[in-house]
Amino acid sequence: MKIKVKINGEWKEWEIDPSDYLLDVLRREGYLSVKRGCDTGTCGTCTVLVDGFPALSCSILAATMDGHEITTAEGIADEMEDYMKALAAEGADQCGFCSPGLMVMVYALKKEIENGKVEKNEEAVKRYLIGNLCRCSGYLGQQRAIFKFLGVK
Amino acid sequence: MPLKILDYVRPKTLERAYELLQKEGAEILGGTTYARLSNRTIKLAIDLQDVGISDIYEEDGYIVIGAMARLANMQFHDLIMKYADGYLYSAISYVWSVQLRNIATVGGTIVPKWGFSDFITAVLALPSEVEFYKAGRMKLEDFLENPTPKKDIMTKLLIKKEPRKASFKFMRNSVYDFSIVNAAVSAKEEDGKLTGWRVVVGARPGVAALSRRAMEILNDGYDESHIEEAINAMKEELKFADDFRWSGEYRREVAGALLRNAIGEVIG
Repeated sequence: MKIKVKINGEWKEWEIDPSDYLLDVLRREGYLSVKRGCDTGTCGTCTVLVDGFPALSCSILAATMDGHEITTAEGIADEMEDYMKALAAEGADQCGFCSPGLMVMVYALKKEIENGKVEKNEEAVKRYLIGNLCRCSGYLGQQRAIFKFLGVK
Repeated sequence: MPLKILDYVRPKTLERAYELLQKEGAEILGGTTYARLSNRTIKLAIDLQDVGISDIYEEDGYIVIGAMARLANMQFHDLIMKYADGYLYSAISYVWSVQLRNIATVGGTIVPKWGFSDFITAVLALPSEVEFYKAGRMKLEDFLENPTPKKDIMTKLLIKKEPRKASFKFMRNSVYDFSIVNAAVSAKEEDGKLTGWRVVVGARPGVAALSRRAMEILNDGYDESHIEEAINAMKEELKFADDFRWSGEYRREVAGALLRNAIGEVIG
């Protein structure tokens, strides 16, 4: 079957199988920032934005995305340059496997804070990012970078 | 072998969706997050995103939540944020992750009667109903306690809008995990008194259930001796079982402690 999706601002048509999950299709189509970590909806490395909201691409059937808008880390890299610099400055880039998924989440979190849906404090930020796991760090380097980027005091 | 879907349709009306569902091997797709973990074959997957059951609104004294509303849509809706001091907003905020709550649907959580569900426990503690396309409206507890309507489509969750105080509690090995046992309590505020108590324990590990005996006792009074009696009645009335995480006996004791905290919070 065919689906049309607006990916990183551009409409594309893809041939998919009804059993395909979005993660598989995105990687097949070259969006390699989207990572397969746990593949069971837990680790957050496959996070993308669907119609502007963060979602697990490993847990969404690609067929259901026909007509929807998807944004991957590739699509927000320019806007998130300061974030990436902050992450590098804290030495928190580590192996980098979880970085794109986390970046998508931080991008969404920034918007939610601006919209007044999430409070700008340590506890709220940590709660928001609970679904992004990192296996190399103790999260502290990432946390420092994220707090700095968001201006959490 | 992972989940296999042979054919996928996105009907425009509930009527058409219901017709398609009657075919052999046809199934309704919920949020598709849990389906991911199965290895079944679905001959015909029916996606309800276009049939118009995603809205949340108020009608005839109920907050109506479309079965295809996402848990996050519900969590952040004004009606939900303002209901019972944000009780459901807060309870839903503990369901797994932000990314999952943006996908998982209300119907996809309720219809399978997931035992691990925090959401069902929290909602069952409020006077609520579910509506099916053919089977019509029924109390949530009746739905949970009886066989699921076959080849039918859940269309709505309805929560009675009334002044209520409510509390949801859980025990987990870590905060980002399933609850090993959870409990929720609510009571209606009427002329400075608390009436119409509802007492729920879930992840027993079976699906959330009301403790009707505990409810009766609390309706009689909610001083210390009644609370003690209600907790003991819950422990006797509800079934708890072992699984790979915890024993049923441990769950029963923890459920009692959670219940005590929840009742305390409701009384204030």
